[in-house]
Amino acid sequence: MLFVELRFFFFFAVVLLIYWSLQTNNARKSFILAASYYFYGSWDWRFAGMLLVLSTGDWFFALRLSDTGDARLRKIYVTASLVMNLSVLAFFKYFHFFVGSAIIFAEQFKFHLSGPTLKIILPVGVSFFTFQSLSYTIDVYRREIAPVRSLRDYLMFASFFPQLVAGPIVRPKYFVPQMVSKRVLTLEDIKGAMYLFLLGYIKKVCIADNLSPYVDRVFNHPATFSGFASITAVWLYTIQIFCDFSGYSDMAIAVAALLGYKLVLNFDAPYLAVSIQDFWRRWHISLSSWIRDYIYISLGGRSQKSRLITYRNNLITMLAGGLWHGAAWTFVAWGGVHGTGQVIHQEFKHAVPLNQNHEPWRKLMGWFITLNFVCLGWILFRSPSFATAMLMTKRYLLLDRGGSDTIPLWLAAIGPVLLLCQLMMRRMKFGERVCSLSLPRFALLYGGAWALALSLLPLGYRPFIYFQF
Amino acid sequence: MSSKTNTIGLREIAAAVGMFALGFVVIAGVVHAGIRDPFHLHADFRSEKLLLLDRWSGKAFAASFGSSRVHEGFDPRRFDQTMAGGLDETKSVNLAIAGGSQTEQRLTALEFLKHLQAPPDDGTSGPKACMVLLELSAGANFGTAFLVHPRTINIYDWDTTRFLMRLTSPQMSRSQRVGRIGFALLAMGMHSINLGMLSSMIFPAPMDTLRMGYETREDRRGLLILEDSRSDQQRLQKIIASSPKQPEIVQAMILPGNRELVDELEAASPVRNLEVVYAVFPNLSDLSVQTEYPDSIATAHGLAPILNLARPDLYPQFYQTTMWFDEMHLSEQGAGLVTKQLAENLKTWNAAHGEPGRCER
Repeated sequence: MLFVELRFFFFFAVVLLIYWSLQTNNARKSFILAASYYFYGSWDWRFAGMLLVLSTGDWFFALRLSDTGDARLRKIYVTASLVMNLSVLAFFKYFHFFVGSAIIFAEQFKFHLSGPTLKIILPVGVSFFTFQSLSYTIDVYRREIAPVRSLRDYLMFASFFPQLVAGPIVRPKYFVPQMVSKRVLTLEDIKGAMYLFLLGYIKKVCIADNLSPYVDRVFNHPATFSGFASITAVWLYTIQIFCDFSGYSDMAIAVAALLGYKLVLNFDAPYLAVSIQDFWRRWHISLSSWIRDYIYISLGGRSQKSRLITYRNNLITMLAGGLWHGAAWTFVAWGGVHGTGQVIHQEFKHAVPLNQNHEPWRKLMGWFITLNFVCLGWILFRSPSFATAMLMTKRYLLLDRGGSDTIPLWLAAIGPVLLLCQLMMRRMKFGERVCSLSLPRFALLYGGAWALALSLLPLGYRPFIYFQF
Repeated sequence: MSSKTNTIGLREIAAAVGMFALGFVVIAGVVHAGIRDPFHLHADFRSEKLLLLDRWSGKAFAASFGSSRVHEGFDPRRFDQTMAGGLDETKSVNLAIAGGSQTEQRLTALEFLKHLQAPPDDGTSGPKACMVLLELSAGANFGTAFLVHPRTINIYDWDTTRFLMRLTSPQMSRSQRVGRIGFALLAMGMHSINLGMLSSMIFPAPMDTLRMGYETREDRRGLLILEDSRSDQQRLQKIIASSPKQPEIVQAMILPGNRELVDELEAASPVRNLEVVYAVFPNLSDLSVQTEYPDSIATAHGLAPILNLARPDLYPQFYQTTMWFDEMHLSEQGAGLVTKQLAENLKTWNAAHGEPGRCER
């Protein structure tokens, strides 16, 4: 069940009606838990069972490690939680990747191994809910939060349907306190959530899904397309992935808000970033803060002794972040490229200290270089193979003129236009202005905006890109 | 809802819903009026055929319409070859589309007529007839998978829906009637709110160049020829071998819409002496259930022939494995044979009922 499907609208209307008619917080939490499992089970009931087992396991381990003072036992419990979650992730998401890579590696030494015949279905959102569960047990282990005593409450946190399948990854220290009290909604909250949902819908459906056929055509047959078509396709993919994922996040935040819960901001105009570090502070914020807190910091974070150690930690973190996105070496390489970019940028900052007089120019140059660097990175991310990535990169850098097939010229203008729109909407505080309208005016505008959005519905069905992660 | 939201009264909520509806209707109306051609034919699958129509505009004077059975079963080369020599000589093109419905064939036929010109009368031999060949047995609507698709939504205006309603009969089962009309009403609702209509204009589906290649090489003029596969041949052999010796005979229903479509096309024709022909293409299921049709439909413009080729009793040669790509669609060889028979039957009909006059403006 996707947020953009008609059946989700029916499902959510029923959920809202029942949820707000329930009088006690406990009843509401129990109901949300049931609705969340129904939502997840609509993909595959077997995986709802797996989610239940994982969540119950983490709830149990967290309780045990909190209740014991024995450091050795605490380590055992947190390790058990880590092993359980990472095993599920490794099996469902990375089994074929690891085995396939091992076979290729063995072939280098003339060992011929046959691949497994096992067919593994990837549970939707497995990368998200395992990371969310992990952050809970690690936080309890680090004594940063108290464990959740109620199994029902923990299960609800771990399966909260608005963000279950594609994030944002919710941190327990942010979410669990909200579960304690009965949620309330103001008219402003409702208008804000409705605005955000429509904005997310427009990003995902009207922009990302309409662009994806052009991107697919070029990336599926790159050799036949011209250099200009290839560059345009990279720009379009840059827009598509942002609108697809941030649109989903917007809708998730809006759906949660209509239930009275606040989720963290996941995107903050990442294509306006002026450096690669800045980009990662704005892109998929819930993941980048997760890998910072649980991988980068665990590795030692920023080292006082040597910049090299910091860079090593940075690279490992980004490689892991790349692998999180997909079970392919192209994703790992993408993470590596971003890690290298961060290292180069830090070295640059070290070598060329900031000069106040040059700051506007430096920012402008920084934005231009960062945006193009990110675009180049998306080539690796989107390409099905290194060969395709290499060809598309050459085209992007004007080192290869390409074939004769084209896509409409005007599509190249979409990126700058949307970037300008985003800049203006931020400057004008467009969202705040719309939400500050009186209810009748807001409703009038909202109805009109939906009429326009529906007329821009694309062909057919396209799932969210981030579902595969 | 709790807290402050309780202060919103029912009247405010009703007013907000009303304003929402007003905003929606006004903008939907503006968009509908703003789309220069609200009845927008382009959509993937169909766009390739419209491009073909464009290419053959002024050069082809006859066209076949309908579903994939015609798409893979009507060979314009063979048709013209057989029709050559008389007053009914044609230059034809295949404009049938995979999954095509009665509603779609009506509209593509009307589009064809919009561009139709009379063949040049320069005293030399060449095409003289203008013809629209419709598939009588095409499904009324698209499959439900196409309900939320520009292919459907773009064309289900009131006229299309009304036409679809005329393709029902009290003799039909209630579920079939409700399903048929329900689909049309739903699609018309989506058409009225422009669902996906702007995006299908701004971001037209890319042309399937590979498919276009299959349909245009060797002067195929829209006939789709797919490669045969050995396993299919074995499966088809089994189907043919296991068929009953005598198929069950059922009588076809000729619906008011079938008749009215001929009248509509005749009225829309920019040329005189347009010949509208209904055809029924064969299908391997004919070996089990054979549908019988009358020879013609009486319309306001005279009789429109029904050329029924789904007759295993008359044409056993069609029901050989080599004639089929799969149980629904003919192979290249089958298409050639069936088309030749179609043309011969049409010539016989014309000879018996009077040759159509020369197509002219």
